[in-house]
Amino acid sequence: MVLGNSEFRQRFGKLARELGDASSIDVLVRHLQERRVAAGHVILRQGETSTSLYLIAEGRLELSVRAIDGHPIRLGQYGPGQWVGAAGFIDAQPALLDVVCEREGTLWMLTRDLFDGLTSTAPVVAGALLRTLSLSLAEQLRQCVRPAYQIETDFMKNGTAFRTATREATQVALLRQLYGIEEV
Amino acid sequence: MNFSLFLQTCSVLSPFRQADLDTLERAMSISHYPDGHVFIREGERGDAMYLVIDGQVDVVRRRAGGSGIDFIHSMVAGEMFGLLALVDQYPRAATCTAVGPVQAASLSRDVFQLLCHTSAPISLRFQESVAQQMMHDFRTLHEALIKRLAGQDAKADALLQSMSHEYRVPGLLRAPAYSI
Repeated sequence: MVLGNSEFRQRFGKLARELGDASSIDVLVRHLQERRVAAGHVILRQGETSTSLYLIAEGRLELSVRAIDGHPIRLGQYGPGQWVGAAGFIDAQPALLDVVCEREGTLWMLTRDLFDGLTSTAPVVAGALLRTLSLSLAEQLRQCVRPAYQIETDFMKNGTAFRTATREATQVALLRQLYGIEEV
Repeated sequence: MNFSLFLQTCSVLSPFRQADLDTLERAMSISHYPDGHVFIREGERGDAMYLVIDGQVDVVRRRAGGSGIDFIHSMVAGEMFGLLALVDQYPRAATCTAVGPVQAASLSRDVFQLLCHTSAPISLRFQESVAQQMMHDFRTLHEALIKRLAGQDAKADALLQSMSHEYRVPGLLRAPAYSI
């Protein structure tokens, strides 16, 4: 399957707006590889390095994090128009989450190697992609930092017992904010 | 002071190649600022990026939902601030003020945009630099929340200290009211 220009615009509006013209979208699309994923397929495993970015065209991906004692914490799901793998794609460090396919679908993968090629052949396109990822990260950080103030204020007001009792709920809520997940 | 050598030592400029640094050097202007000079004011749109060459710049932020301000961080030589203002129209998250005389190099939004239009590689280096800074902050906040979840508050606080001032949360940095 080939990802067409209008389909790309429809599915990945934010990224398409940063890319601007049709020829920039064409350049990026030519560097994307299709990946069909079935339910249960592991896209990212926490702690393992993956440097590819996956744009979700169809399907649902389940995001979870393993706590320090190893117990898994379900954060929520991502669907069409969203992406996973930005962390390793940007800095080549290990994945922060486990990402598993929950409902079969199609992902468009951009490997870091192909992106590195883009930085020399089409720096404007590469820059627009990085800008989209950065703006999204900035928004997610703001979403997380803002309620953190309120939570700290509540802790101060309600004392130690309240703080201990609500620890998991509040930290998980902040993690969901960080990943832009409204509710489960 | 050799400004060119100074730029090479700035970690935030690590994605830049020598030719890009030379262009950047020509585009930035070095000035002396008096004690108390406000470089960036919280809530206003930033119009320039600054690199501290000599002196100290303090970062403070209004306390959420109340009166008073929180001290966030003191910046020294080699630290850059306002970079996000060049790529993001969001109002600035903190106020940056000179403490004593400060020498700093600045790059205005207008010059930055001109640079980006004339040199796609320079624009790309800035985007790489911003993306890496944002991802460092994202990872730090993620790890800090995971440490908090396990009751490792001292480790969480230490992590949060290393975040960019834009996203530091003074409330989260306060000494915990409990110990595990």
